[in-house]
Amino acid sequence: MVGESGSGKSTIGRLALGLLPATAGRISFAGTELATAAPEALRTLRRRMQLVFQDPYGSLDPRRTVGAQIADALSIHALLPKAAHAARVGELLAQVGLAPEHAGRYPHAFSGGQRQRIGIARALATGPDLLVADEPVSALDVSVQAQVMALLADLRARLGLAMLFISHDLPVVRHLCDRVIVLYLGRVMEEGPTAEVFARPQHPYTQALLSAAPSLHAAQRRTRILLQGDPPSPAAPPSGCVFRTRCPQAVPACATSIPPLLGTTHRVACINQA
Amino acid sequence: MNRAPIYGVAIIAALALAVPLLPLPAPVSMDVAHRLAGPSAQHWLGQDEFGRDVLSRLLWGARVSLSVALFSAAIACIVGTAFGVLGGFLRGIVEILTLRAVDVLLCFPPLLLALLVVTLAGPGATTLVPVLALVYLPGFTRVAYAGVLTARSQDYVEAMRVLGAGRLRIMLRTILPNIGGPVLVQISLSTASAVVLESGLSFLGLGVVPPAPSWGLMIGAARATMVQAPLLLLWPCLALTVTILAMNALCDALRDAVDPHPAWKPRLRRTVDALAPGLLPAPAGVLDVRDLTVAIDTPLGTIHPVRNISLYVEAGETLALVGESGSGKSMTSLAISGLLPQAARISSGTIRLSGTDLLRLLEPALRAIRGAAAAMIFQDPSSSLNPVHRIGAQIAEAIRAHRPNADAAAETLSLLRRVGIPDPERRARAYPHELSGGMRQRVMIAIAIANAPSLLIADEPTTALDVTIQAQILTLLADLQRERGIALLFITHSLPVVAEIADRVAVMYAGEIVETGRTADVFGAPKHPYTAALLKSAPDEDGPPPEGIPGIVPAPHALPPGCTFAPRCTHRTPDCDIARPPLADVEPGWQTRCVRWRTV
Amino acid sequence: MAWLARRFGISFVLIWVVASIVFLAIRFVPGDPAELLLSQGGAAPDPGAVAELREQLGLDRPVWSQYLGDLWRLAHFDLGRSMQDDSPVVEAISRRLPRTLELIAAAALMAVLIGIPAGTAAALRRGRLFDRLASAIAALALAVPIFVVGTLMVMLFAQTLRWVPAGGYVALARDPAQHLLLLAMPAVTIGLGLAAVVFRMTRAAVLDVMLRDYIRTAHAKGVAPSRVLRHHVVRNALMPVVTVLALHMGTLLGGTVLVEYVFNWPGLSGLLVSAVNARDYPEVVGIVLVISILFVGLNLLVDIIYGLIDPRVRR
Repeated sequence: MVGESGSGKSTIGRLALGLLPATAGRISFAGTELATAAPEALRTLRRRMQLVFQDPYGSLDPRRTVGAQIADALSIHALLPKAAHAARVGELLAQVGLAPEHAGRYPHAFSGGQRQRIGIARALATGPDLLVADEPVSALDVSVQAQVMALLADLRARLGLAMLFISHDLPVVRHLCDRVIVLYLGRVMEEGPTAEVFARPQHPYTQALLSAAPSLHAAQRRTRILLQGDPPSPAAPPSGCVFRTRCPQAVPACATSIPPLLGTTHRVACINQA
Repeated sequence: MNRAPIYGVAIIAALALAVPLLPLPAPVSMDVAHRLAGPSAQHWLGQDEFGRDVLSRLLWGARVSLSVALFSAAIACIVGTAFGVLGGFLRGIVEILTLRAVDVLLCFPPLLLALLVVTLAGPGATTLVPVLALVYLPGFTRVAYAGVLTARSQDYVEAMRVLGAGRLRIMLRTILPNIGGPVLVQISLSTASAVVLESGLSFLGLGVVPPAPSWGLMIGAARATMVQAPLLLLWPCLALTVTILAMNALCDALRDAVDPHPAWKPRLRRTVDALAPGLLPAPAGVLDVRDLTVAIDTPLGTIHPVRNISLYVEAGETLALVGESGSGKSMTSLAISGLLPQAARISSGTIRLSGTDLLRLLEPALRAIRGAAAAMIFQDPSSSLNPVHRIGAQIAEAIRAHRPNADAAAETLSLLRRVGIPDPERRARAYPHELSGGMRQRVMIAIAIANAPSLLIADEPTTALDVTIQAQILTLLADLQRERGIALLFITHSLPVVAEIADRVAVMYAGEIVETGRTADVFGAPKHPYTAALLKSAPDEDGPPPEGIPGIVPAPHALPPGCTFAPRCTHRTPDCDIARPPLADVEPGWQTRCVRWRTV
Repeated sequence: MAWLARRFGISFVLIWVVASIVFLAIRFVPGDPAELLLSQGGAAPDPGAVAELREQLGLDRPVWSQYLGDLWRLAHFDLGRSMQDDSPVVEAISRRLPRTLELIAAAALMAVLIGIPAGTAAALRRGRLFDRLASAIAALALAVPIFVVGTLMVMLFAQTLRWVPAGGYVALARDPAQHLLLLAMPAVTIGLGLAAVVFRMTRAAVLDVMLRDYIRTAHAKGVAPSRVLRHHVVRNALMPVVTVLALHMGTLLGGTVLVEYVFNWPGLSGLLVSAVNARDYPEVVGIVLVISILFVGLNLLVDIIYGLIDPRVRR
C-alpha cells in the first residue's frame, strides 16, 4: 500500500488490526468480522495478526530487556509454559539474525537495524498469519534497509505469512510486493499486480508518483510529470475525484462524482480511463 | 548523579529519627528561671522564652515537620497518581471526573486552601496531613496523567495492544515504570514544599498546636524577643533553610537524573587557529576545502568524526556529499558553514570561499559572509523557521542583516514569488505553522538566496518531504542554480537523488571521503567497494533486488587501524588492515581510498 | 478570537464551580456551624441563640434554596455581613484588596526585572563565574521560606540598623514617601523568592531555545548575535517563563498571607487570618472566593499573554 503523507495508509493498517474502529464498511480476518467480534474472540485473533512499526527507537520499551518484551507475547496468550520461554525467545532472535544471548540486553544497546529485527521477532512470537508492516524500513540507512527487506521477504516465504506492507517508497515496494494499492487522500487511485502497475500506470497520480521518484538511472527515466501545489487537507478533501486539484488531466466532470474503481485485476479510479 | 544532596537529606532525616534516643532534655520541660539563657554546657543552643532546651526543640521540630510533610506527600502521591493514571488510561468519563476535579483544586492557592480547611476543621497535626495532601494531590495527578498520555502514544505501548495484552497488564508493566521518574521528582518537590507550608501555617498559629515543637512555632515565638535574644530566632531559621536547601538540591539532582538534558549548547565557534600555513596550492572553485578534520572531546577521549576531507565546488556546479548516518557528512557541512556545535572544533585544514580562508576570519567578518556569499538550507523546515515570527519578517531579516538600506519588503515579495509561493502578499504575513512542509522549505530557500550567494549548502533539504514535493523542490533548486550560477554543495543520504542532480559526488564513510569523481563515472563503475555496495543496496525500480551491507559502521572512538571499511568489505586482504589507505587517483578528478581498486 | 471566547467561558465555569465548592464545604462540614461558633467557650450553647444564628446565616432554609440564594447574591457582589462587626464583607474586601494587589504587583515587577535579564545572562555565560554565583544565590533565595526572610529583614533593617520602620501602612495619598518606604520590605521579601524562580526558569528556557534549529537558521542568515538573542531566543523562551510565573501566582497569593502578617500590612490576607481566627464564616468565604476568582482571572490573563507571544496558540 503506497501513498504520501495524509493518504491514510497508516490508518488503514491500524484498522486492519482492529486497533481503530471503522466508521463504515467491513474488515474480516479469517472469516470473522472485527467490528462485531467479542472482545475475547478479538484477543484470540490478535495472536494471528501482528504489526511491525516504523520507528525502531520508539517501538521498544527502553526500560525492559528485549527478551522480556518478546516473551510478553508468549505469556499473554499462554502459548508455552514459562520454563520454555527463554528457549523460544532465543529461537526467535536467531530467526531474525540475532544471537540468543542478546535477549538479556536493553534496547539502547542495539543499532536501528537490530532494533527493527527485534521488533520483527516480537511480532513473530505469537505465530501470526498476517504481518502489517508500517514503513518498517523508512527510518533505516539504505545498507540496513536492504537487509531488513531481505529478512521480511525470507520470513514471508518460510512462514507463509500474508503481509500488508505500507510504504511511501516506490522502489522498495517494487521489489517486495506482489500487488500494490496506490492511495491518495484516503482513496484508492489504482490497484493491481506490482509489475503491471509499475510498467503501465493508468492513473495520472500513479504516473506522477512514479515519475517523481528519483532514480539511479536518471538518464533512461520517463519524462517527469511535476505536480503543482500541495495535497489538500485530508479534513476537507475536494469534491468528486480527490486528486483533481493537482491532476494535469483534470476535466470539469472530475468535480461532480467520485470515480469508481474499475477493472478486473488491474483497477483504476479515473473517469478518463473508464 | 550528584550524591551530596542525598547524604544531606539522609543526615537530617536520621537526626529526626534518632531524637528519642539522644540524651536531650524533653522539648517541653520548662525552666522559667533560665528563660532566654544563652548557650551553655547543658543547653548547647541556649534556652527559649520558657527556658526550654532549644537544641532539643529543634530536633523534635524536625521530626514533626518531616513526618507531616512526608505523610502528606505520600498520601498525595498514592491518590494523585492513581487519579492521573486512571484518567489518562481509561479516558472518557473517568478522565473528565479526575482531571476536572483536580483543575478545580488548582483554583485555590495552596495556602488559601489550607486556611479554608483549617477554619472548618480546626488546627493541629491531624488536620495538617490531609490538608497538605489535598494541596499536593493535583501535582501528582497532572504529572501522572501527562506521563500516561506520553507513554500511550509510544509505539511500544501500541505494540503491547497488538500483542493482545489487557489494560491492566499494559498499565502495570509498561506505563507505570515509565512514569516512575517524574513521580519520584514530584514526591521530593512536594515534601520540600510541605515543610515550608507546614512551618508557615504553624508560624501563623494555624498549624502544629503548642507546646509541641515546630520550627514555624519557634520562629513565631522568637519574634517577640528578637531584640533580647536574636539567636533564638536564628536557630530555627537556619534549621529550616538548611533543610529546604538540601531537599531542593535533592529535587534538582533527581530531576536531572530522570530528565537529562544535553550538557552543551551550540555556539558559533571560531576555530582554533592552529594550522600550519605552509605553501598552499592555488584555490580551485568557489568553495575549496583542504584536509578538514573536526575533533570532539568526549569522556572516551578525543574523537574525529570528520577526517582529512578535501573537496571543491565550482560556480554553477553541484557536488553531492553522500553517506549514511554516522558518516560525518552533516558535521562537514556545519564545519564549512561555521555552525559546529560547541563541543566540536576544527583541528586542522583550510576552508576557502572564493579565495578567502574562512578559518582565519574573526566572527564579525564570518557573519558578513554567512547568509550572504555562503547560504544554507537545512533538513527540517518545520523546526528551522522561528514559530513566533511571520515568514515575511524572517526573510526580510536575512536581507537587512547584510543590506540595511535595501527595500526589504519589496524584495521579500519578489523572493517569495521566485520560489513559487502563490499569493505572496498574503503568505508573507503567515506564520510557519500555517504553511505546508513544502512551502516552508521554499521559504528557507528564499532566505538562502536573498543575498545572491555564490555558495549554497543544502543539508538533506528534501528528506522530510513527500516524493512529489521533493521533485518540486529539487526542480526549483536546479532552476535557481542554473539561473544564478550558484555553487551547490548538496548533502544527502539518497543515491537516486544524487544521480538526479549532482555533477560530481563525494562518498563519505566513517568520517572520510572514500571515493569522489563525476557522478556518471562513480555510479557507472565504482572504484571503491563501499560505493559499489551502497549502490547495490539502493532499491531501484528497474534493477535487481537490493542487497544489504553486513555489519555496522565502526564507532568513532574505535576505528580500525587500516581501511575503515575493511571489516565489512568482501574484498578484504591483510594489506587493508596495515595502514589507512591514501586517496589514489583513478584518473584526474576521480579518486578512491582503496588499495585494491585496480583489481576489484 | 474563538480561542479567547472559549477561555472566557472556561473561566466563568471555574468560578461557578469554585463558588459551589466553597458553599458545599461550609454546609457539609461535620457539625453545625452555628453551634460550633457559639460553643467556643466550652459550655453548651444556648439553643435559642443557635436558632437565631441559624436564621441569621440562612441555615434554616432548604439547602438548594441556600445555594441559589448564595449564587444570586454572589452575582450581585453581595458577600454578606461580617460576624465580628456586622459590616458588609464586600466593603472590607474592596478596601483591602488594592493593598494586597499593590504588594503582588511590586513583587512581580521586581522578579521580572531581576529574573529575566539575570537568567538570560547566566544562560549565555553557562558554567562561568556569573552563572555559578547567580545560580547559588537563586538556590539560597528559593530555600529560605518567605516568613523567615521577612522576619530576618525586620530584625536586620528595622531592629538593628533602624533604616526602616518594622512594618505598618500609610496611604499613598497621605504620605507617598512613607508609603513607598513601608512597601519596600514586604515587596522585596516576596520578590526575592519569585525572582529566583523566574531566574531559574529563564535560564533553563534560554538554554533550551538556543539548541533549536531556528536559532541555527538565524545564525546562518548572518544575523548579529544581539539581534538573535532579542528577536529569536528571548521571545521563544518567554513562553515557559510565563507559565511558571502563572503557576507561582498561587504560591505568591498565599505568600502574601505570611508577609502581611509579618509586616503588619493591612491587606486582604491579614483580614483572612483574623477572620479565620475569629471563625467569621461569611468573611472567610468571601475572601476565599475573591482570591480564587482573582487566581482564575490571572490564569486567563496568562492564556491571553500566551496568545500574544505564540501565534500557534491562537487556534
